[in-house]
Amino acid sequence: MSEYKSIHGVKVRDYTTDPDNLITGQVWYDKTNKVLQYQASGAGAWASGGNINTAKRQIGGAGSQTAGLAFGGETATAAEVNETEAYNGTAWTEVNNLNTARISMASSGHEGTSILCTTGEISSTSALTVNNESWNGTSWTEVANVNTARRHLAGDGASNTAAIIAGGDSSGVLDSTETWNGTAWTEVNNLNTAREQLAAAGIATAAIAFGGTTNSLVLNELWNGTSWTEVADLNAGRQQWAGAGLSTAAIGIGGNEGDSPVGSAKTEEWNGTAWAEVGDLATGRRLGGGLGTSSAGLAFAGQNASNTKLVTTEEFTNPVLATKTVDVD
Amino acid sequence: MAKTYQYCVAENWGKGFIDHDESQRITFVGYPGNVWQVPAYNKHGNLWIAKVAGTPKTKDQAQTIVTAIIDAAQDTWDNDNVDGESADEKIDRLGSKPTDVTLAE
Repeated sequence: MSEYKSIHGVKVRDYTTDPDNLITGQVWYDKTNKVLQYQASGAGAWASGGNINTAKRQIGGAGSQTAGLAFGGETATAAEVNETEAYNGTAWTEVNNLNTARISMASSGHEGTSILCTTGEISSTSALTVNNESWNGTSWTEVANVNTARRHLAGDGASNTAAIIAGGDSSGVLDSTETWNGTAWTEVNNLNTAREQLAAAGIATAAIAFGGTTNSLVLNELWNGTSWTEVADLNAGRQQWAGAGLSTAAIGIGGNEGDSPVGSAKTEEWNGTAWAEVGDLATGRRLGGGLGTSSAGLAFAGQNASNTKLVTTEEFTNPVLATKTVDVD
Repeated sequence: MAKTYQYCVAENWGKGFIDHDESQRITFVGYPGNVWQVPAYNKHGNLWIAKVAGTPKTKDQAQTIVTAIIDAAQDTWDNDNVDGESADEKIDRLGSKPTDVTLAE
């Protein structure tokens, strides 16, 4: 029988506790439990996160899995709220409110201290707002308005000084795109296919816009800072869903498949070339929030198959690292 | 016929309710009414139900819980009308009408 050292060139070390700074594939002998163990790398999976304080749908969300922000949305008792909650990787805490309550807005920002909440709908009056607000980690400040007020759009950006919004609805489905430089919004080249209820991920100069309606599009477009180009389709048409990540590594979360209002549990991952289905959410949801990256994402709020607004949060980790025990006779 | 799934009722308390290791090992499906579906005859499914102190339900019992909530949501949707509102406007305001959910054996 071959010895581990003859194959790998090193001996298996003994430890009384798990080694520090484990790397994938590392093997060690657990002296305490008298078992051989290794560090495995598994496929992406969702786990429960802390519940949001107030159930909502059509909510905004940006930031990271350990410093996230959820804002606005519709509750069981209010057509639109200005509530903002911050997530620290464990629990949601209520923080300072938006200046303008709204639903179905665009959300941008990859850090919890630099976020943008742009346009959206004041659903109690069915009015659209051009209002654009910037979050500095403590409070919201109104900054320059968008050119075209809209709802059911998508947007993203690295921070509150550089972002992109696309699509949506404003007396008709839109293909228009605007970019934000920290001072003003500028109209730029349109999407190839007008759509609303889509999702997006990326930064102002490199973004991806995917899915949307009508009839749950499978279409996927890539923004290079100048124009949109159609790239590989989604595995299933999806609308009313959330996106997170970058133009080269993104996830699309939940939504409706086709016109079914059940709320999908599916997650699709974009690797820069193609989409692949990865781990399912435990609770299917649509009209929910999403933020983070394709390796550390967050899904929260939304509504389920009975149209019940949700408080639940799920955390996506890809890959999932775990210590496994080797079965030896 | 051997069943594929087992059901329980458990309230999602948040962080730790389902962890990544459990999520990798088995598929969870959450339904209205805090009804959860996990694989039957599965050690990891059984361990998870015990962890969350889930109340086991037969498929028919679970279906009754889910159906009651969906029926109530459908009635609420049907009865929530605004004078002069078109069908599309109603869907825009409330979302689509909830559809029936059928649990698998």
